Amino acid sequence: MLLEVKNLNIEFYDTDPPEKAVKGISFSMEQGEILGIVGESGSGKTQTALSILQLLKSNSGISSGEILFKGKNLAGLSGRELQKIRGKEISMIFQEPMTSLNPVLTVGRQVEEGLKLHGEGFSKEQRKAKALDALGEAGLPDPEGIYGKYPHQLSGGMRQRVMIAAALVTEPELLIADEPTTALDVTVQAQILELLKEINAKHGTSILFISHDLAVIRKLCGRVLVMNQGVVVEEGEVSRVFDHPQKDYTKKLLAAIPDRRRSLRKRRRSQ
Amino acid sequence: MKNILEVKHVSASYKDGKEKQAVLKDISLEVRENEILGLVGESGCGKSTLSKVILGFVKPSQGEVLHYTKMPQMVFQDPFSSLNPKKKVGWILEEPLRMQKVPSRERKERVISMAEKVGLTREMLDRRPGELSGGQRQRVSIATALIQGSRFLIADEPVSALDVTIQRQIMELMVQLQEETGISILFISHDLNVIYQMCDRVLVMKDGKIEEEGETEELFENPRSEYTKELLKAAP
Repeated sequence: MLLEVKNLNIEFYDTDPPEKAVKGISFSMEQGEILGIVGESGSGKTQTALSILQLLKSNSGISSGEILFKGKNLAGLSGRELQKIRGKEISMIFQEPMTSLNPVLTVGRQVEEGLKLHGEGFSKEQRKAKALDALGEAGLPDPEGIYGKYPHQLSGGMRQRVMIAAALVTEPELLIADEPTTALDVTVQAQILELLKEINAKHGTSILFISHDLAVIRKLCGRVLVMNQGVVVEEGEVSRVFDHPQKDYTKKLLAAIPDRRRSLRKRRRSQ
Repeated sequence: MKNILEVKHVSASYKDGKEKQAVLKDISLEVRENEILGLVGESGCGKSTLSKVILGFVKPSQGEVLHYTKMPQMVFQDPFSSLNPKKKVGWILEEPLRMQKVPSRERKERVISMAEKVGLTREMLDRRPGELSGGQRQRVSIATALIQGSRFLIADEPVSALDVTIQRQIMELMVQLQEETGISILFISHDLNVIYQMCDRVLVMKDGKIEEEGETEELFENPRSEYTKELLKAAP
């Protein structure tokens, strides 16, 4: 088992009494798996994702529960101990790469950052070679050219690829992706999903994919957790959950997805 | 069917430093009475600029825009930015009527009946926009647009920021209001599936041009342009 979350509770402390964002959820991930967490705003999906690497904002925290990564409880680690895992064994990518990339550093430096932090004695040349490899693997057409560029010189899709390169340069076992395609155009989104699939297939990188978008989850993930108001409502293989949802909330969610089967227009329906 | 808007050979550009950046390139379209016309395209295709040209906020460098009804009302993606945060919802809905010098009693009645139509309770009329959910705020902005008796709405990504179940409610509301009142809606969205479910006709935009135009079913089933095919394939 790669990741085992046991009875996780997350609270917001800026209200009295504290508001429970995540209410005792448990789930696990196998090596090489792509697990989706889907839910609407307030479901607790993002809090769950952030808590794994202790990235919750200061107004919230884990009140109880365990997050076992290869048997080690991440929830009990100090910041320093966690630093060894963060960006090395577990990496994370976010919705808006512009806010998580540093605007005044070149792409190259940011992609190399992980290698430096977890210094395994790579020389400058080795780091650059690895960064170029990662950029190439993230599907950027001209790694050498992009290496010296700044984030604002790139399109949204390219920035997301840079983020992916920076996340994968250390060859993590687990990639946590929080709505990584939500801000992108559909054609770019399709490419990024394809890229994540390739990375998963090639390196066996496990991916925990958080999204509000059921259609995206269906395209990418093998298994899915449906969350609502801090609890896991339903869990299972994507095909089973989408084709034979058991819970009312899942059914409601699925029925609401815009599709190309049924128009809402009476006039067109009657044609 | 009569047209309520005609856009004829409109081009527009923004200044980017010294250079002019063409955003709209010879765009022609019409919005008909009693229809929801979808406008779909990716970021930077010019769809939002087109709505600004229609509203007169951006002047076309060429071509003309002909209105056959009152200026359209806008519904935006984030109603929070277009609703006065300090005023109560009832006051916000009354404001356009106040400006038209509608008598107080009639104003109140029209606000209550409009609130009912868009699914806002009386109690919500006493709240401020910040005390409402995203879906409720979008109902307020739809009501504000309709209460003035406008026959033409431009809705720019009105459901994109909403959760999927709320999104569905707002889509159903807009369709229902359109079918009841026979108004016209220019519905701008990046989401092909939303466009499919709501619109009678569709325009696909790319790089400042209309790439393809057609009846919804026809366009989705038999797309002609390569770009439309690509979009349809990419949409989840």
